[in-house]
Amino acid sequence: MDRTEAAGLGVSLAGHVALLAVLSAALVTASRAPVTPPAMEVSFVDDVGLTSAAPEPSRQPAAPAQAPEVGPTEDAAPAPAAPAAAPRPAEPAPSPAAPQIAQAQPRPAPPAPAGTARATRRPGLGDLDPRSFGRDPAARSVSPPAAVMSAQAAADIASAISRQVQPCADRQVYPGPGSERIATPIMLSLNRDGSLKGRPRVGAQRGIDDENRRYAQRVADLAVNAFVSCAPLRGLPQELYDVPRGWSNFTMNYRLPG
Amino acid sequence: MTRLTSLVAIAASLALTAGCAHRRTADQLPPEPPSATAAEADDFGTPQGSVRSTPLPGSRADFLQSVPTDRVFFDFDSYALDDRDRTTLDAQAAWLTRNAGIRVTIEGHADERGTREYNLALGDRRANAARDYLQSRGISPGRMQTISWGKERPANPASTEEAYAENRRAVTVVPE
Amino acid sequence: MSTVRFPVVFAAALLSLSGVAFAQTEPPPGQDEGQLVVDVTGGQRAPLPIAVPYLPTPQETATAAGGTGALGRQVADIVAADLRNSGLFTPIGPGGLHAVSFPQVTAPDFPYFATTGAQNLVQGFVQANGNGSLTVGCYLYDVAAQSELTRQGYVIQPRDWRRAAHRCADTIYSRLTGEGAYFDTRIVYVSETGPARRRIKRLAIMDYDGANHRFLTNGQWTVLTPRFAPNQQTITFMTYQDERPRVMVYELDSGRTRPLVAGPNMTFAPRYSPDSRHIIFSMAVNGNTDVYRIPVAGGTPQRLTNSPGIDTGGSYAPDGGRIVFESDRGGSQQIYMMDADGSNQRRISFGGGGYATPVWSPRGDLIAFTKTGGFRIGVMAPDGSGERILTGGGYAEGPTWAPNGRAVMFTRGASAGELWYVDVASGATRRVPTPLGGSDPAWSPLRP
Repeated sequence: MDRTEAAGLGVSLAGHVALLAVLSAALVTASRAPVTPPAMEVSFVDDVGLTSAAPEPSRQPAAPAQAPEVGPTEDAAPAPAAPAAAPRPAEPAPSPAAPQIAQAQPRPAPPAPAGTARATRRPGLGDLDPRSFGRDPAARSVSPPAAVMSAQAAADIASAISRQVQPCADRQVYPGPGSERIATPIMLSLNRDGSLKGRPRVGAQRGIDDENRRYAQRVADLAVNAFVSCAPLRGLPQELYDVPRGWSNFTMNYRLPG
Repeated sequence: MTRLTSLVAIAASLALTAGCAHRRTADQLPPEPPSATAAEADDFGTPQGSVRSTPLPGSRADFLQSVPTDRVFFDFDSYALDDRDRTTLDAQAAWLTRNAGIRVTIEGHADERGTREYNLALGDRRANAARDYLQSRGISPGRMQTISWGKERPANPASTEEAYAENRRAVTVVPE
Repeated sequence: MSTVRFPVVFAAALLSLSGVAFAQTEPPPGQDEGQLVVDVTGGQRAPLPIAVPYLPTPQETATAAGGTGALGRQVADIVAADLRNSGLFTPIGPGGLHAVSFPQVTAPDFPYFATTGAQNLVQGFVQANGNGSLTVGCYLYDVAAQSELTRQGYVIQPRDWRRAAHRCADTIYSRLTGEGAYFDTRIVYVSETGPARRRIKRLAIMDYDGANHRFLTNGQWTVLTPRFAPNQQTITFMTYQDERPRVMVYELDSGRTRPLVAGPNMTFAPRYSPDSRHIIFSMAVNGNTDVYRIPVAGGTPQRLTNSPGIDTGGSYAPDGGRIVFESDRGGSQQIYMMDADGSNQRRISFGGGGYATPVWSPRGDLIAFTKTGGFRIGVMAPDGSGERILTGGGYAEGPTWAPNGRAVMFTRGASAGELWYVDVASGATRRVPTPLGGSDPAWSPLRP
């Protein structure tokens, strides 16, 4: 190879290396990709609760929070500890002054001995899991629970129940033409563990006409069967068991697909 | 003898049988076993002095010999007579006029492509169509009875158009 | 035929046996407005799986129909066959299931039967009573709910044991489908044999499943279109006896037969009125056929139709108020309706093509017919709407209804006849076994 060729090769090589270096440097200094926030569970609710489902603020006086480390006492008046106990990012201790809207069950900070501010799990929007509805075995709340089941919670529970009952409903055999027009309500009474208390009670059926009357008794059988075959129900939240509109007693409306 | 000659001889012999007529089986109950095709004895080469059977006047055999056919045929779901039917019935009427004492039964039939009860009614229509025509040719109604067999007595049990056409018929039955 | 007794006292005796607890606890009433409500929609169009184990006997006893243990097995076989034949059930067993002991009849092993996939369970027993009769007990359970749905007991003479099995199957069928019963029925039909040009036809009668078959005529003369009286005391049919085609009435008890209508004209296509007191029939006079009515006991025929077309094949509505018949007065075979006195005649079939052999369902909601273009069995509403064809694949004619208005039996085959039936809702078809060929079936009402 002659000199001009060698020179050209060298220049090209150097250019490649330089480009590679520049690109690598750019890669190194690139900012991190944004972290995707945890998914938010969305359920569609037709009605909006007109009553506030927010937990009532605790009626007990808030106990002063104690910071884990007691800073030098300043010449401050023994004002309420609120300003001094402003929450710091590293300390998840609840501030007694801030209403705890995000939690389903408020926990007033107990008068904790120094250094034992308890880390509580503050559920965010991302994990609104029925199984974790305020379920904290160690919690011993003395404040009243939510006054009514919210529309959102009702819809969630209804959909949890129907999901569990659906496979058994799908196995019911269609008796004859017109039976799909019959709607059968059954009143169910459950124990806390999700098992049936007593037998389902069949309510007044709707949609019966001269053509399908002969199937009405059978459709009532099917409604009861659809539920009992999939009983006991699992995973329903305890604190919504015996509230008004709770799942201790509810009505299941059953019909065959048209 | 050459082959050609043999062939001619055989062909000629075969041609001879062309003159034989099939003896038709009457369509009437109680049933007789379907009679095998019997060739009428013919005069071919008969020595003189033999006995030759002949149908008696007024008998069924006489009737069958005298008329083109004992039956008329109909289109599907129809009881209308066509020209050939009328020609046949004219010959039947003539024979009946010559044999004044004979009483006949006219059977009406249908093919299998019809429901059972409707075909009974259709067979009755066909029998009556033939009877009415014979009556119009001067045969007294008192000499003629009709009976419908619907689709119960097919002349040809096959399920072909030809068989169906054979079954859509009215048959004039003379007693033996 | 001996009648069968089902005294109520035996049902009461059965109730004294230990039954499944059926307590219902009322949940506290909640306010409807404030109640949680869950909507669930689900179901399948499929046969219902039902377990039918062999019926035990409390005491093995020999009877005129065999030992009670063997009878218990045969009863279960019949119940399973009836349910399967309807097309609406998938029976599980009797073979292959655990044996059921007599005490378990009223205290079923629900967990075991749940493992078989059955949603319902039939249990029962066969027991010889001291006086020569038998009792067949029949219980129906819901496996998931672990509850009893119904029970019934039948007291029968040994020779009628099959009827008890059919009645048990009827009880189960009705309770689980909402339909009326139809297994404890008979069929009268024309048994056929011989060459097509000269078929030998005999009247015959049998259970709807083909059992207990016997001939009523000897085949010397052609017979056609037999029909049961609703009161099941007589059968009417058409015969060619002495080459006089006409309608006869046959008394089932005595076997006596007599002509229905005096006179020389051909009479045919007879059908009873719902009260069993009249027969409508067709009569051909000088080449024209019309529909007439006459008391079963005999008398003067009353003319109902008077058209120049062929009017035949009448069938009463179950309330006796109207009659459907076929007529070609308009040029082709069509279905017409008239009041029971012959007035108000009007055509109801307008679906295109020809229609014949209309038969009114005992439920009053449908009319079955033969569609003449292609010879299929179909049904339509009494106003002519909602026409549906039920059969496919081959020549079919001459429908007759089961007493529950849910199944139709008919003749299949233009020459070599077979008897088949079809479930009107599900479309399931089944052949009825006959010793020879068969045609012109007529389904009896439920036996008393």
